[in-house]
Amino acid sequence: MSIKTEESRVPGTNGSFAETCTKLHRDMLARGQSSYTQEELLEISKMDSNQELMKCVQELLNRGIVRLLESKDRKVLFQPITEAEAVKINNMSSDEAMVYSYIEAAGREGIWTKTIKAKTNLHQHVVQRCLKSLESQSYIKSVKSVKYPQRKIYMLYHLTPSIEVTGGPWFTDSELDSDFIDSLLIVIWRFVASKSYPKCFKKGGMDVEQYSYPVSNNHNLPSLEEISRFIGSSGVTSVELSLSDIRSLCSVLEYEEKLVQVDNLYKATWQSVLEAGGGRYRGVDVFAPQHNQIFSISDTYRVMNPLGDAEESKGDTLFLDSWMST
Amino acid sequence: MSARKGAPTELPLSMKTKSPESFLFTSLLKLVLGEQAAYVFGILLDHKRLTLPQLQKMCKMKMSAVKKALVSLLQLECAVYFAETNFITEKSQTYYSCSFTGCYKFLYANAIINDIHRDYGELHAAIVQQVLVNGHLTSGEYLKNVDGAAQAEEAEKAFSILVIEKWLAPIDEMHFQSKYDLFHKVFQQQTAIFNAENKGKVISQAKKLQVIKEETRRKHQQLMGEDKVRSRLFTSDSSSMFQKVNPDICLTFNLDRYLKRLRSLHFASEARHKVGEISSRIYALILNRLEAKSAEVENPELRLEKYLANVGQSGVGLDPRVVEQVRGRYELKDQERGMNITVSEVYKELVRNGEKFGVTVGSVKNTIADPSLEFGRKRKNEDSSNGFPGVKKVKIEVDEVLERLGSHDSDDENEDDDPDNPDPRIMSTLLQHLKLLAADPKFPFLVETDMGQFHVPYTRLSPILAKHVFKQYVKAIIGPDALKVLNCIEDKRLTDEKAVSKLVLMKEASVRNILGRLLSFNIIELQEIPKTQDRSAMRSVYAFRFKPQPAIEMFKKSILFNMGEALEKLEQCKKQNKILLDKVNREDVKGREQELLLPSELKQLEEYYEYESTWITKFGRLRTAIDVFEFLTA
Repeated sequence: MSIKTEESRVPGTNGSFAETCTKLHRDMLARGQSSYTQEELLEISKMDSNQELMKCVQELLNRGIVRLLESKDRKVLFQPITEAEAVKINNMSSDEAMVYSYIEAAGREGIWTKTIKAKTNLHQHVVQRCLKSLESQSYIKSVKSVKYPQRKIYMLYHLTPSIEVTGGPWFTDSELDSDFIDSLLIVIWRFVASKSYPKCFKKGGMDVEQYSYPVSNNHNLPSLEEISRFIGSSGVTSVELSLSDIRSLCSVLEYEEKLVQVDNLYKATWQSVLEAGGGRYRGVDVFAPQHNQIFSISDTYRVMNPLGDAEESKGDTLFLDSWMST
Repeated sequence: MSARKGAPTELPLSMKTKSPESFLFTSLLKLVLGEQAAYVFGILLDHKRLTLPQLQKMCKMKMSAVKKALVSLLQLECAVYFAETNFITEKSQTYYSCSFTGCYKFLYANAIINDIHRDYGELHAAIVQQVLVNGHLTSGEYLKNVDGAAQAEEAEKAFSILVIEKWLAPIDEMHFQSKYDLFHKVFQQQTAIFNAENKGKVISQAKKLQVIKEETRRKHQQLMGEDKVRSRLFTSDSSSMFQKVNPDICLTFNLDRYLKRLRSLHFASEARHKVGEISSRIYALILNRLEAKSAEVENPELRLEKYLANVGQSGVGLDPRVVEQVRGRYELKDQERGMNITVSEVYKELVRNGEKFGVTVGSVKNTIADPSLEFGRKRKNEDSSNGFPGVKKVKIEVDEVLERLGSHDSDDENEDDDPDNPDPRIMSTLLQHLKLLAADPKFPFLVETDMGQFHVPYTRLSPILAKHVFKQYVKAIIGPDALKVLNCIEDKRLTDEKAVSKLVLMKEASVRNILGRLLSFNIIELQEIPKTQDRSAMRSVYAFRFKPQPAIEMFKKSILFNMGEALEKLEQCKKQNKILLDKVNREDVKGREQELLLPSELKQLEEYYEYESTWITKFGRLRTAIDVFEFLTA
């Protein structure tokens, strides 16, 4: 790394110009901010004029340990870079450095190869060569995005992909883990159902035709936090689930009409209990005809069998779309 | 069908293809009145309003045959008439239109007779059957065919009960007339009066129309409210123990009363699935008590507003705000005096009629759990199980957790009743059942107004029930995942495929497949959101929304068509087995089938009866969808 030095005295400071620059760089890193405005730098360096500061910043820019950025409101920002990082970049070819800078700027979201090509204005072959070189040196890595499974996305080697890229706990190897979700849904529903209706899953059926909690018991229904605590303590999964993840699962159960919200607490629907084989009265055959009842489609679980191919081919089937297709 | 040769031997295919209503009702009328009447009905359905010569020209049938068919249709309320006088020529012409009232009476005939039989007895059912078959009947005519004074008195009593309970209604002169034409006549009269009164005055067209509409509304309500017959409905016979029905007054079956019964049955059935068995039976008791007094299923005020929206030149249609206002006013009828019910009244009803609805004081006992007892026991169980074992580093151990949950329930035993003082406990249990029925504001089976005072929100609950039932059909036909996607779309109002798959935690391909199916049945609507200036289809995103009303309307039509198909299949089967059925119906064979039929014929007959009963059941089940989607959506 070639470092240009210009020996001059800066008024108000005792050290050399190079030392002042190095001190400013060190202070910038020490503060931990990712970028600084000119005013902030003036405050850090305690310099009197912008001119002096700019000289110093130019020196840091020449050394490659400060980078220029632009804020949303089009202000110039200064980003400090560690010496090691600067050495790494200085050892790269100019194309590689350019590609690397865009990948670095993309952060945990990653960047698509086509975007790199468009932004750098380099030929595809050149971009490919640079990516290969950077990947072989373990500076960058390729990740699979859940949002765009066909795209090749790159990010810095040491970064962990964001939730947008990995898809969160519902994805395993970028594939939606339906079995995992379904199992969690069953566990949550069963937990809420057991809190909503007493003895509804009693083996052999209930002793009375209905056994419900009074309305005044609604405050004992489980809240989102309680469901989360139950999932956490039950050991059903080693994957850490946040409260919003549990909320997503409860929303799915609401869409399935298996749960309803009662004053921000969750209650299982009686229909879902019946469909799961619960809530039955001891000794009563639920599949027996009920002549005193009007036919209800909600009784499907009890009165209808799924249609087999044999019945369908016999022509004994009515199709809902037969009018639409006439 | 041959032209001008009289009776059509078969209904033309157009009767099936032009609309589901045409297919079902012409098939139905063909069974009841024959091909000619069904064909005339179909023509009236097509052209809405025809004079007799026009009708004959369209039908290409003999005038006498058209007249015969028309008389039958009019008597059975499948057609209505209206005599219109031309003010210039002063000639009067009678127009005929079709009416669905009679068709629905045929559609529900067996269910009506069964219900009356179960509630009142055989005699009442026989009277209703006679009324349904003839369209209308006087009690005098019926009594002519009754032998013996005792039977005659029984029949008179039965008539009286059916009239008091509003199952039979008297016929007035407007009964067979077209309701819209009657309204339109009033409108024309009011327009003429207004023009005469305000001759030469400068009034804007909008203001003029508004005044005329107001006056028409008032006059029409007055006209419909006139009850010339009801005052003569009962004879003043002081010697009789009961009110005797005037033997000269024509009575017809009151379909509106039966619709109230259907509404009660559907409400109670849904309560069974949403709240519980005993709660639903108690609810059925309440509904039974309030049924006769409850508001009509079809809101007459809303019907009038629809008529009013159709007249004049503004053509903006029915204002949704007006609909809301009318519904709001109608909702108030549900909480009028006499429509409220208290726990003590429910208790009395339970003692009086409970057994009819499968609920007794005994069966109500112990149906409400004591939470302190339940939770106390569960906590004890949880303590004894000493928490969960160490967390294993495996993703799922569902079975283990389910087992643990199950064990909590199976260990429970409940013996917490107090037999020494049952009444307060029963009253408290009944109150808890009523509170359970009133607990869900999104599905209010009951509404608690004051402490312990409940009413049934018929008007509010009907559309909620219709939407819910529709979703259950979606679930049963397209699958539970379709319901999940549909609910998600409804919740988010307007959303795209990616957002849906993220919210319902399903793979995009599966969601796309479901959306395709929902779209094909018009259950959801699609909206294009262009991403490029040239609206390139490749780059466009499509958002989806769910509008219940058009979706239900489409679904209803599909079901009506399916019902027509069910009748068609029955007819086909009858044709295929015609020779055998003719043989079975012969006088010498009747009752001696085992002797006179070959074993193969007996087998064929058995198969035929099985097939027939299966399809009648299917038809009945499909009809329950129409109960909800035709009558409870408004």
